[in-house]
Amino acid sequence: MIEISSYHIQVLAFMGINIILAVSLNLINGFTGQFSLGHAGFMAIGAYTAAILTKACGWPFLLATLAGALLAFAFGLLLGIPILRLKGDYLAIATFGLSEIVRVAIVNFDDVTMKAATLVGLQDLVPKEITRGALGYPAIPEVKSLVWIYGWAFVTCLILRNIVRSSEGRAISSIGEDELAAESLGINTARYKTLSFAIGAFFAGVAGALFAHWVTYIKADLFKIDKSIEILLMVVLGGMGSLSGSVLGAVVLTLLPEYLRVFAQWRMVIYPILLILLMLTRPEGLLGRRELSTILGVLYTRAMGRGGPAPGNPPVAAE
Amino acid sequence: MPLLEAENVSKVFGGLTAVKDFTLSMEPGEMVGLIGPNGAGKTTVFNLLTGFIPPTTGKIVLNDKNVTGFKAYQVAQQGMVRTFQNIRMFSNLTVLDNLKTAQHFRTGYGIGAAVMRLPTYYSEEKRIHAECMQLLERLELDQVAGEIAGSLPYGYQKRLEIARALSVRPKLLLLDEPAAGLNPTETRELLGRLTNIRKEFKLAMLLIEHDMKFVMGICERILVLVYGETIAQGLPEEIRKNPQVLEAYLGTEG
Ligand SMILES: Nc1ncnc2c1ncn2[C@@H]1O[C@H](COP(=O)(O)OP(=O)(O)OP(=O)(O)O)[C@@H](O)[C@H]1O
Ligand SMILES: [Mg+2]
Repeated sequence: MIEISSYHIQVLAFMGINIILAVSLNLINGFTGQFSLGHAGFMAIGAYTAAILTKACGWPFLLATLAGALLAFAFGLLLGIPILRLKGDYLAIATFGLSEIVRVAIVNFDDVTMKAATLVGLQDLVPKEITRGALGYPAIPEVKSLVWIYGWAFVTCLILRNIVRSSEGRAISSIGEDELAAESLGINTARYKTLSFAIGAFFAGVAGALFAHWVTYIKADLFKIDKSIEILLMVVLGGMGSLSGSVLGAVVLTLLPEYLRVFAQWRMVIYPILLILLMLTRPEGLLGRRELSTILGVLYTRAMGRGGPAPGNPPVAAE
Repeated sequence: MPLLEAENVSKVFGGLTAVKDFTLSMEPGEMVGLIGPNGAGKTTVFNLLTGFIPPTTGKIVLNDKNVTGFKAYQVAQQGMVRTFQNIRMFSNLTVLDNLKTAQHFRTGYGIGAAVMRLPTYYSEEKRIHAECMQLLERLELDQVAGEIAGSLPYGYQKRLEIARALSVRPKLLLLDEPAAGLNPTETRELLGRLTNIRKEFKLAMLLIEHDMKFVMGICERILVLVYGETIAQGLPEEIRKNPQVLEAYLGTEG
């Protein structure tokens, strides 16, 4: 019998939060094909907004989570419009810059608001401590509930699945496939790039709120590029353009570092080597672009005897 | 009333005038050919008409609506749809999904209905599915509806690109070298298909093609572009005999 300790529960919680982050980033990077390195920035917006609202304003957890997510969504929309004109490496750098700006803004928030308030003579109305700068934000009301986390993970996957498998989702995927062709068919590519960016940001905000109320102490440094890259690895590992792949990627990359703890200082050597080996053997990720349900379906028909033709093998070779 | 009216459309790239004073009026259902040697500016004309690049000067009116300066997706929504000289497929999507994607702007439900799976989602998806399958059957692609588009042979992909453009339900279809790379049998098939499609969909077509037999066999009117300038236009037999055209072609190909 494995004894379920608080350590195990914590790993499960982070796994659920990572699922939300990876699945939502996949909408942006995988389906829409817009390489974003800024997911941690949106997570930070959700985390700080929700934490301040529950602690300082006494909002209920769900409302605070939604508010944090909506603010992240709004930032995604507003900043997505100019930023998503960029492509490839330039976009990656710009989204990274964006999340750095969020981080620096959080650190300097109190100073700046106070100075601005003093300038217009409102210094008595503005609280001295809002984000508490580099000190970090402590004593957030604790919500240590796997039900909340996995409830949100489920809702995130369901909503994204419903979007992806719809006309809106086809418009989004077509941009990832060939933006010019999509445009030539009457699809407003700028609109859908921004929309998918903002929806991704929304769920990153949700993940941030859940995270803040689990750990009860957050600081801006938790949302640096390392976090964005960690999420990106989950997406790439699972397969760009596969939602179930991202879930799998999040599970594997949450557990792997934990299992590697027994190797102590060798952990940070083994971990990247395993990743490199995996990407060399399966560069398209564990599931590629396919969903787990499709793969299971194919395996099932094969197991039942005569299956259809193997995927990727058109029955039309004879012309 | 003409379907398309392009008036003195010009494009200058840096110092190079790629297209100069391009003027064309097309009636609904008309079939016009655009020919000229390599680098004459034919594809650039398509890019200008469909809003992929803004004209330096000139005016484009589609269906009585001034579409000069429209974005490419807006022009497509107004009923003028183009294909590309080099196939641009949604390679990882199925053949059917390629066509469904082209129905996007005519879809009668939004993201909210999609997320909540409202009845409009199901009824619209059903309609889209039926329409696209019908179109695939029409172009004899229904056998491969479930295949990944990128895995199809070249000839099929060329045909799929036309089917996908038709899925937008355009009034004017611009085809950039649809017969390029096809073998003689496929070319003959394409000729028959385009003739039928055009009748059936009451479609006007503007066609770029190097294969002279092809253009002469299908177009009612032909424009000849050389170094960005329209040096001749008229009926196929007039073009065939036009000394300027002969010189331009002999000059570059002879
Ligand atoms: N975006 C661009 N920027 C600069 N020059 C361009 C651009 N697009 C086209 N050109 C130039 O304009 C001229 C016309 O090119 P275009 O592609 O329209 O020719 P074409 O008639 O389609 O030729 P082909 O038969 O080879 O397809 C060429 O000299 C080309 O180099
Ligand atoms: Mg060309």
